[in-house]
Amino acid sequence: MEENAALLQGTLDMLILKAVSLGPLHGYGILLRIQQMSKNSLLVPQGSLYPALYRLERQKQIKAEWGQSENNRRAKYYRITAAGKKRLAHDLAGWTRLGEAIASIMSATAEEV
Amino acid sequence: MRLPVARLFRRKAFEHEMEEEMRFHLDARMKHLMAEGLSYEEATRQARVEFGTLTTAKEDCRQSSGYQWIDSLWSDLRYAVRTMRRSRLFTAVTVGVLACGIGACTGMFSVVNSVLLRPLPYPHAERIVRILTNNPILHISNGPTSYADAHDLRHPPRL
Repeated sequence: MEENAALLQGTLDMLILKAVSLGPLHGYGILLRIQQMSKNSLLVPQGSLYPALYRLERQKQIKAEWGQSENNRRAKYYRITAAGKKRLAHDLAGWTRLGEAIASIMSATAEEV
Repeated sequence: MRLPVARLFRRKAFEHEMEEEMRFHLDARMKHLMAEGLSYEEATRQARVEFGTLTTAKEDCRQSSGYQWIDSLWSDLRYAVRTMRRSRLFTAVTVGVLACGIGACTGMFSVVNSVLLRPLPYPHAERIVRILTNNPILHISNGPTSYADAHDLRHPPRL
């Protein structure tokens, strides 16, 4: 239970960093971009999006400032910081390693073992 | 960037901004859903359902922004005051003991500080000495020194 939650949390942080690394976004924009990038196959829990954003902001991996939204409303925009870029690269490397390891396990045949 | 204490004063602004940010999210989601063909009521409801419990999200946000300790500090303080009100005699005795203790310590320190710790307010205070006189005839040891003796010590009489 604890392990699962930690993995999920780490994943969400990485996805947020990826989304804002492509340009500043407000919270709802981050949600849309993640969904769009996953080709709508991923459902981001909207309620956990903001705690994750606030946590990343506190860790100075993203920076928030108020700006104008597309329909002229005040919205809080997040942009990635240098520390955030570093963390994203680190997480991505770890995630790729894990993915490759699992893929090679799952594709192993009886002869190989 | 911000000291933990500064959070105390930014608390109100934090709450306002969080409120505004989440309202923006819900409105944007609602408009999005309406554009997909839902009615105003359906879209409003759907947006809220998708977001989940607002109070939980806010609580989680406070926690991940480091505001949690302020809340727990407050509730601890309130609990302390309630408890002290319930047992007044105990509180009075405790406050009395603390007051006496602190008072005694402060008084003692004031004396020690001015008498022992701080140098005398004269130039070359470290060279100031006190001359004591022994008088074997009158059986006085470490007695005071007369001005005449002090003068003789400073200007030894030439014999």
